[in-house]
Amino acid sequence: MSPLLDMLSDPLMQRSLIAAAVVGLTAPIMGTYLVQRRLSLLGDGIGHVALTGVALGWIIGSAMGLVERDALAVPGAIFAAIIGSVAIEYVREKGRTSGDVALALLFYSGIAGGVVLISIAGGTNANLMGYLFGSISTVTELDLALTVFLGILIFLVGIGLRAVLFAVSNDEEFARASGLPVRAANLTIAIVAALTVTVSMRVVGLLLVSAVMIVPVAAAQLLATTFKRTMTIAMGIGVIVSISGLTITYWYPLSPGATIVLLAVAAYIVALLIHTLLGRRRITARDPHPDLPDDVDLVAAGTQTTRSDQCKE
Amino acid sequence: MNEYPIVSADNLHVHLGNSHILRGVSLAVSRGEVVAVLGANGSGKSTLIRALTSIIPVTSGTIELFGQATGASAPWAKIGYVPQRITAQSGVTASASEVVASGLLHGRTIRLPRGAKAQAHAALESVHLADHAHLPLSALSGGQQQRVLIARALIRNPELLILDEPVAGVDHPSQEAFAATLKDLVDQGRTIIVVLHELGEFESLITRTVVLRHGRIIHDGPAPRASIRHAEPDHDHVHPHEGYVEQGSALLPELGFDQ
Repeated sequence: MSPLLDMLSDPLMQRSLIAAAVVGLTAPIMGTYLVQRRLSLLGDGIGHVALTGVALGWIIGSAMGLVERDALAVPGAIFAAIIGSVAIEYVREKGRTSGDVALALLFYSGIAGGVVLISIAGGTNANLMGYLFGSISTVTELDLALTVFLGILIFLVGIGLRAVLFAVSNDEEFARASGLPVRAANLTIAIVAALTVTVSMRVVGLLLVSAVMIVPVAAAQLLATTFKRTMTIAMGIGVIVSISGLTITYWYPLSPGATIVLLAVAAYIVALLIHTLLGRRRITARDPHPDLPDDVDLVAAGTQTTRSDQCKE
Repeated sequence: MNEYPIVSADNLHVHLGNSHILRGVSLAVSRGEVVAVLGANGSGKSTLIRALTSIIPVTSGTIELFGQATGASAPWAKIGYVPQRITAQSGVTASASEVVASGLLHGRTIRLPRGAKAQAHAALESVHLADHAHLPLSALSGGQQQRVLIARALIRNPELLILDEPVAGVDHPSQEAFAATLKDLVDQGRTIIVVLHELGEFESLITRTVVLRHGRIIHDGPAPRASIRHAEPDHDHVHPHEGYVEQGSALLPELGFDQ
């Protein structure tokens, strides 16, 4: 038990563990809505755009002569991520066929702009790697406070407004025909997803942000048949892989973000195995065809032909 | 009490992209009417009810539901909409019960009331799917999914039901079952607007028929008799979605005008 106690009494590790737990718990909440809307890669795109925000934060920080040049990196990321996610939502709502290309332009200019701007601002490759793949060991008390605050906000919105966010994500047209505030709900999901990306940035890095949002949901989906339970199981998987991933890296010199993501993928594989084993049993137990009479009069026809005048389609 | 029409649309014009879909449609529906909206694919019938339910914006013209302009404060609780099918397959499985419960949200009611689950169960019971409440929607057949969508509209106990081709792609026994469900709703005094390809099972329920062609109403009144040629032995009965060319207007779906 002693090494474990050592780990838990290390203030740096305490901060890291809390940050990882917050990310593990909240990232799958927004991830569930993104998967439901078939926007699994949205988090990835926002992450790309957020890098430009990080770099802009650096440049402004340098220009203002701040002692810590990266002090404005996280606010910059939040700002850019929100702008980016609202732009993506706008393109989605318009439903233009060229939207796909517009998104690609946004994503790649985001990451290329970020890399160039960070070097202009005097950042090193090590700084860049920290943002791209996570730097949980550099979490300060201020970072942690911001992470916890945003985590609570994501939790309150994602869980508190679940009914309406589900309704709008599940069937946008029906939501419109019910007079629900569809645009406000869509923007809420886009903005809170952007906040989730920036919260997760420190822990897993911008390139792997989408993984902690999506992979636990993909695993949970294999084990649950309702939306609510999918979200709950995904949150559980998120917390478990985040904390255990970070714990592993306390003893082994591995990248915490990548380790967490690999554990999430392992959870997916386990869920897939369980799903396959249970699914096979279910198939043999149940006839999938509904027990309804059909309109084929085999006796009258005398053969296997069906009556041709009825609406078969 | 019934001074205002339940639905009142005046001179509606709707453009989708560069296409002028509705070209001056006016329609007033009174309490208790059962209106069938007929027309070939691409005639604008789906567009009309999607405009009435605020799914798509109108270019010009006015719509009033229960005497009030559509908007956040419209009486959404009194309106139940049943789409033709689940518009987009959702990425996360949701149970039939969850989908039906989402029908309890409308207008500014954005949180589920207490007892939502029991209400969803009762609504599913009314379409004979109570024992499927816990199943994911993807595990149900097309006809069962359609009934889930009807339950979702019925859960808020609407006075006006608007249905978009509820029996398209549904087998004949399910159509009969659906006609029986609709009859119950009519008997309860609800107002119904239903888009159909043909009157079929519903003929006895329909009190009024509106026929659209090229985005205009060309008939509004009692059900028109089907073309006499339908009864002839050599009549090749082809459904509109399979390439119906009798009226010449079915060329439109090829251009993507439907919906």
